[in-house]
Amino acid sequence: MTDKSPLPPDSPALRDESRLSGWAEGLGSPADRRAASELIGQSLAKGIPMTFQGARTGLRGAGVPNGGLIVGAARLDRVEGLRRGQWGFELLVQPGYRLADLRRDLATRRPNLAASQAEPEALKELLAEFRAEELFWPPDPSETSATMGGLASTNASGPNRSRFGRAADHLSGLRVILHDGQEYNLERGAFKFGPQGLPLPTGRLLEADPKALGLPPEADLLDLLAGGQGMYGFISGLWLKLAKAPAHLWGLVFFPDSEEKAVSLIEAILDDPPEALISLDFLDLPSLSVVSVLRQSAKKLREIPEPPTGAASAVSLELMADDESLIESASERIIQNCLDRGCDPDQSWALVGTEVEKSRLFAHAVPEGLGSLLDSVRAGGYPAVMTATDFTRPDLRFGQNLGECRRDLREMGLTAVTFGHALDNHLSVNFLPKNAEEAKRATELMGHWLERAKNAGGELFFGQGVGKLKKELFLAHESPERIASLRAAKKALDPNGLFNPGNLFD
Amino acid sequence: MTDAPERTRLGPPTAPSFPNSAADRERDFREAEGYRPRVAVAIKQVPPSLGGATDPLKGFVLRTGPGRLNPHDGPAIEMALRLKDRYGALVDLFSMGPVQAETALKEALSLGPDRAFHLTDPLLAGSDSLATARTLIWAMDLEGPYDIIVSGLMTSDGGTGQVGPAMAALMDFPFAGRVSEIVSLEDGALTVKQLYRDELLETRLNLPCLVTVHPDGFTPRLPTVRARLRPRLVNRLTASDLIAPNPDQAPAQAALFGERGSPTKILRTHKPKANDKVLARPTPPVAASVIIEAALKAKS
Repeated sequence: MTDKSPLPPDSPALRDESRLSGWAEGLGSPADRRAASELIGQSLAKGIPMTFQGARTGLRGAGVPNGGLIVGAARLDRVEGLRRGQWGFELLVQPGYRLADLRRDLATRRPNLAASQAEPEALKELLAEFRAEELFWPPDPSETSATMGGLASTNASGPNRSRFGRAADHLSGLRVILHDGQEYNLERGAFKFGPQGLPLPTGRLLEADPKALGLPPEADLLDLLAGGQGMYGFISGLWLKLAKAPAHLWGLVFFPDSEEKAVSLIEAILDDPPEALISLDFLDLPSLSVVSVLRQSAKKLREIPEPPTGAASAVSLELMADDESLIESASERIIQNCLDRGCDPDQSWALVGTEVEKSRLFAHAVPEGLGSLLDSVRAGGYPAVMTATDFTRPDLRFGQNLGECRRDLREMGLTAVTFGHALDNHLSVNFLPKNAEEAKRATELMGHWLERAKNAGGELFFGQGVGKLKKELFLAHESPERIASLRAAKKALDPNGLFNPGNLFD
Repeated sequence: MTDAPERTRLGPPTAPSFPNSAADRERDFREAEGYRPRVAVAIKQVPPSLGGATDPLKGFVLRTGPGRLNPHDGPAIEMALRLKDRYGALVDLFSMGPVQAETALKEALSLGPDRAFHLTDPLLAGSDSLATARTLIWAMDLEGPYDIIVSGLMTSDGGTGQVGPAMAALMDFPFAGRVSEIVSLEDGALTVKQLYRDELLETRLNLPCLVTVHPDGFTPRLPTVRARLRPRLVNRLTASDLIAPNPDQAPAQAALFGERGSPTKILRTHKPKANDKVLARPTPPVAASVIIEAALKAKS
């Protein structure tokens, strides 16, 4: 499709981490709010479709253009405000502000508030209070180069999702440009679902109930927009709810010498989870190989040692508490769990405080490295794209869920890189099809798994949303009621179909 | 590989030499049977990478807040621990800094060194690289002698890269910088590879010697869970501990501590300015029109 595009075919703006590529008639990267508003307003007036892009770190192609104009948010990267709201401190940031920027500003406690409209004296006072506290943004997804606009649009979550929820749970407001070209400041709770549906700031009414849209009963418009993959409007500002950071954070990684021991260790931890536990992740042997391959090209990763010789899997967990003795006693229990299962507890890493970034970098290297592997498949001639599925199975224990996947992969003659968040019993299975036949079998298997997860009351399309890559699977396996409600939402919020065409629906 | 390179001597030591120092007392200690080589590592706690502030009057890096281990010291500790793994070396850590710098030593102890010594005293505050080098040598003399002293290439705050070479010069030790690999430790000599750009240089150093470590050469290991849970004792040393062996020379030595003993004067510190130039700044409506016109043209 790239031959249609006036942007050079190798333009990075035409693709993202999913390895899908698209086409576009132009690219605009507004540097401020007014420029963004003008660009979107004029495009709407002339009926030009737009694709909103963040840092192009998405794995489902939601930011890959499908004609029209690309509106890049990367230069909209400022902090616009700080306030103390009912949830504590909140930071107003532009959509191109990255998670790495947020972590830096919270670590130094020095956000650049030059763009703030607040009274200087009042701001100075507020900043002094802000600097006295150690704060964090709880969802903390692992891709730190992702933009906040992108994280909100995919309603991203991190490994600690079962403890802290997703991006939308930690937004107190959004500023959005909707289909009428107007920019709206939407505070949490201002537009709530009622018996008739959801009133919209444009005056329309979305006739749908939150359950059918996959939202909780108390959801409001913010919850719909977050996770909307840019289909409902352009997010031009986000109020981030910040929380007080617990005093101590530890990251532990164990390297059992077999997958069975890793699963047994995970299940032992799940049977009696420590109070301080906020995440518990599994990485299989191919995942460790992916990290090793990525080490060759990723300098940052070479700052972390190779896993111990003989490691056949990894169990990575984080513990967080104000009282460090809680973490220490939890760690001692986990060491005992290791010993009871024949795992060597000295084949492990233990990181504290900011050093925990290293264990996060290690775990995040798996999805990152998959892109490089796909590139090598593509170099061999087959145009592979990210072929992966995420789902939860509330009816199974972690080992049963993984065992079923393993059995099916064997029967279908497929290989995959598998990792997952054990606290949610969430598995991410990433196929590496080398030809069209394997890709077909992988898609068939993903459909089979999604049906089973749906029947068991699990969540589908759990990780990175649907985007363009998984819409066929989505339309084939999601409930008709949910699909109809989402279509109604798209119609109500984007009646002319100009926002991120091709995401979720054709 | 080539023979050891010719070296330019750095001149006579500028620190006073104390006749009863441990290093002078023992020179033939390496001959003893079952002797384990002794390695000292000089490390430092530095401010977080983006949070450092400086004293507006004196230009010093302020060390009042939380800190972290200097990123270049991880590879230095790793090199020492590989000497421990391969040759059974005893590894001691030394660090000078305010009270909170003990955290960095505790952190580093969980990697496997045997002992840690923390030099902390208001008298030592404001030390430049020369005063720091002298003070670390005195502390190592108290606990040594050492066969090999290892230091990181530089610190992320001061960034001078002078402390290691200054210690070698003051002690008149053979020195190798940018070490990226240990070749051997035998016959009273350490043989290493040094990485200069893309070239490796093999160098043999007679013991005792001092090396600084190339950050790409030694990926630091991470502590195990059990090591993290183990109690980690840091020994504290003050200025008076350093003076203790030489009471008669106390005044001369005290004059070489901290800011008093530091010849460096910081004239000015500044933040680099961005060089971004705005070539044109169209108004938003014009910019939007230009982009949209171009898009429409492309479409037609």
